[in-house]
Amino acid sequence: MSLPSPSEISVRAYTEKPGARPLAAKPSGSGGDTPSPWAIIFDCETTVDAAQSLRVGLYQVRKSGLLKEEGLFFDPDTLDCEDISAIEGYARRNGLKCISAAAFRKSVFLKIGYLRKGQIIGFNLPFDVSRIALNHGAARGPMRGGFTFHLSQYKSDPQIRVKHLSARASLIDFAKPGKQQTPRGMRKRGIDVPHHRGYFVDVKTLAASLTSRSFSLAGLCDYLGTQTRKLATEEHGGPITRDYLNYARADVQATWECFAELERRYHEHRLETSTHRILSEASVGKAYLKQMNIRPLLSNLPDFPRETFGQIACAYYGGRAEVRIRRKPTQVLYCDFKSMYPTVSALMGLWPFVVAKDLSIHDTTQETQAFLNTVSLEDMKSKKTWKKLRTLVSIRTDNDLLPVRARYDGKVNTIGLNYISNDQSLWYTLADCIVSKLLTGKTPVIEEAMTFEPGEVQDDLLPIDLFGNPDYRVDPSYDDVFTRFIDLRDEARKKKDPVQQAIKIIANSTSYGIFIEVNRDNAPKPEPLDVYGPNGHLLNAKTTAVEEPGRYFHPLLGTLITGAARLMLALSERLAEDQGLSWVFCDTDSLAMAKPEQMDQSEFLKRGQLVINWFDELNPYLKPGSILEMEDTNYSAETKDPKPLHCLAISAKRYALFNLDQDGRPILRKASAHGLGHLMAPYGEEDAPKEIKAPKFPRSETCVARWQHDLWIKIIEAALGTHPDQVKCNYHQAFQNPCLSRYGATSPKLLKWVDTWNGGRPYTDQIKPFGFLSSFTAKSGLLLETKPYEIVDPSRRGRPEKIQIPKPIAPYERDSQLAVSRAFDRATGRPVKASELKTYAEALAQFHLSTEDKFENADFTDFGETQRRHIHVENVALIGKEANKVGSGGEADPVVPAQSNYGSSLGVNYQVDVGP
Amino acid sequence: MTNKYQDEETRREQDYHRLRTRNPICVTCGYSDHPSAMELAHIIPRKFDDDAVVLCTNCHRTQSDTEKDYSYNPTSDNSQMETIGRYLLSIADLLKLIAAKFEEYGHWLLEQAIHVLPYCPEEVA
Repeated sequence: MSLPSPSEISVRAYTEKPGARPLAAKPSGSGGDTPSPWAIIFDCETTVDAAQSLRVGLYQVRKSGLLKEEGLFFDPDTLDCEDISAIEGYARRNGLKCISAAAFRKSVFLKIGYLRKGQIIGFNLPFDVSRIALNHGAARGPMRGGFTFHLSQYKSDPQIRVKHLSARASLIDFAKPGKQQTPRGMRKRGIDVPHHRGYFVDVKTLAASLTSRSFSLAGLCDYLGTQTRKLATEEHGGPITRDYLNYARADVQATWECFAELERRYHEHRLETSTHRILSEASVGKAYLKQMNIRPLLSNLPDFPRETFGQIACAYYGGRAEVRIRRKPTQVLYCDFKSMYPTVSALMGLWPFVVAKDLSIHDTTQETQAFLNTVSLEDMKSKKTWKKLRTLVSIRTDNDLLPVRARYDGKVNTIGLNYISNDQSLWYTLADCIVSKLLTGKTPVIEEAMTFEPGEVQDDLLPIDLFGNPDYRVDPSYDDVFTRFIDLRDEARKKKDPVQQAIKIIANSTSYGIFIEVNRDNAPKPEPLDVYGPNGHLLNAKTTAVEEPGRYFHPLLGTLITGAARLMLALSERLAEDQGLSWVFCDTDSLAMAKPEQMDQSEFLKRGQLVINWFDELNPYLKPGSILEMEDTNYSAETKDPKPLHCLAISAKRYALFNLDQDGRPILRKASAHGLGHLMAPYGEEDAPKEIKAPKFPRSETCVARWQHDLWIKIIEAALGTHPDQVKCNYHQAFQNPCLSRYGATSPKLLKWVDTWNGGRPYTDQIKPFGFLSSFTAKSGLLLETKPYEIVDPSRRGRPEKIQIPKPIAPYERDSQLAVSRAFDRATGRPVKASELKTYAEALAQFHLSTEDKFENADFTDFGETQRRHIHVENVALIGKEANKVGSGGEADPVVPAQSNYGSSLGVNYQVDVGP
Repeated sequence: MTNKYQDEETRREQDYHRLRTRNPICVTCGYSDHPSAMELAHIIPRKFDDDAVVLCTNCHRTQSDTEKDYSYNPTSDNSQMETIGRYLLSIADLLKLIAAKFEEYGHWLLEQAIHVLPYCPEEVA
């Protein structure tokens, strides 16, 4: 029995601060952004208790890459005399400098990093900066939501500000010191000496930006093939020995070597943007657009009507991720679209919008309705038809099949393709209307349509040679850069040129995300915000989630691209159904076509191939072939022949693909860690259960850790067996331990959780910013311990007491039993017993039954085909950027919606707070 | 910083930062011996434009002296044309200084030509 369909749907609004100048209209920097040849590389070793305080650190000072000084620094408060003499002896023997942490802060860190304008390099830099700091506080100004670290007791010395952005990146800079930096003569003339913000390079961030992967230092050394590798040690927290200091010294050297190699790779791009500005793949994409001298939309048209942005934002929905055949093992053909977003951008001809001086809007209501009335599946085979999709339409829906964003589970907004009826007209992409027509046969009635046309090409655009190679020339004035990047990648792959991976990253980073970039700033108290919904300007909105469009913000592109990608998926869905096939799941750019039980294997492959071949004509690239491609998982790893691939999908983004061996047992090919990734591994590779065979394929292919692999195997075995609803997590005793998540205290708000713990402790013993926390899930509902039942209790009157579910956290401990013994309720500070915590077995008990609430027939124990919902809209809510903060709630549900709600578009405005 | 006396390396880095280049050369006389004796000079008063060049202290004083005959702020209604005009005049002043240097160097070469043997690349090799 599914939950009833929601009556309130949500659409995105465009918001901006009243009177604020858009980022794109601000100057991009005054130059002088190059660090001096000096660099400091450092790493801290800490205590292993909850405080993770500095014990000893190692550093290198380099000039133009040459080592000028190497040394150790230590905190005498956390070390005993023997440890200190061991450090001093080691320094003496190896010719290293040995200084206190205070001396390091002043005469190395500030001297090289601030006065000499050198680079400050580290791996996971926020953690290390936090270790060497004297104290901390909450940052203000543009870095609010982050931390300020004090490096000296003098106000004339700068503080460091760190704002966590994601697991991969943080913003780090020097705050302006409390000392007058502009001489009086210059002040009189109104001249200001620009403040030095510092050149902080987190090697972890740089590596992720250039490779699109997350690394540990050891993994990065292996990946880059550095001469020095991270050494192994078991001596953390123990007495300081020569081996331990060797280990720490190697860490710093390895960090430097990784940085040098990554910087070399970055310089191959020949971009003017400095290394310290690269925080993500999107930074690389933006650097390329800057290099081509492309001015952003809001720089060319700072007064572009915001009401139109509101209408465009209303039509914005993300990628489509759905399950059609749920909890039923089914043989599939797993396919994905080649570079989906660049492909649809090229087909619609969106590059001219990126390089246009202007953007014009035409009312095309009649033409668009006429087009929609006649458009057919065959028409979509023509590239010409795709050029007509640069249109948004306003429709009053009447049982049309369109993307619907709603709280299907009553908690979180998700997007599902459902039948919707709405008395109020809303904006959609024309591509979404074609989806509705092709899948239902019914043509939506358009009330208004607006088609966008790019203006003239900007003057003085600059061609670039990728990696300095004239063969890889890209000219933004004449090329469709989206296709050019993919063609170049195909060419590089053919030549076996190692730059192919880098070109792939450039292609992806310039094709979508930067156009829909919205940066959110969590204000301490609600601030006024201009909100533009589908009906125009909504005044008086106040929120703590203040949003600012990114530099290359161009919502039209983001909206059209995702709309066309949903159309691509719908085309493949319709074609599969026309061939008598169904599908198990789809996810943004991939589709798993399902084999009907009675169909012959060769017939299935033949029909699947027909679906794939249909897309041949839509290929915008030089390399021939279909843009819908078969994934490697469809083939045998040994013989490369097609091998029956099976799929078990539970809910959106929770699926597993597997082969069956001769005995009918599953061999996992690929699975999703969605819904599992926030948990610490209950056991490792070394103590994996004997009864489950080790994975045949490496983690890089299966995409899951060993314990996740084992759980999926058990779920599949249950589904193949006679009791698909029962998956017992009793195959390893670790499942009886309290289930544990780990995350960092990355914002003052999160660090506040440990106020009870920190209260009364000296600073050295306190949990500090970017230190780790352990989070547990409290038992609730039926799992709660009940008091002995009292039939009559004359002493109690009135409403029964509400049971308070604790929000248990603990300081991070390597020993999980110790962490459990230190668990406390972050709301009240009272200790929480182990018996109040959910075990892994209890937390995972319903994972294999995860509901797909956006559809019917998708409740816990339902299985088979899901049914689309029919939604009659009574209210439309306007919301801000959809962002999930995994784990920050510390609750049973790992994903907490962090989304601003600006009220309904029917004119009701109210003030709302946001987030956990 | 609390340490009033900074070491030489630090002072040099601050000079380079101030001059916005790591290879400062006076554009009029070619002086490049010591960055602390060099300054970043606005081509025209900064109320007009913020473009600047590196000059040695002596050349900066010489260049600034001619500026004193003009206003430090735009005075006409058409500040755009006034800025371009002032810019061109300042460039002309700079070129005059450079021309004087060329002249001086040319005379010096003529004097040297009497005493110094001609340059012969083969011999050097």
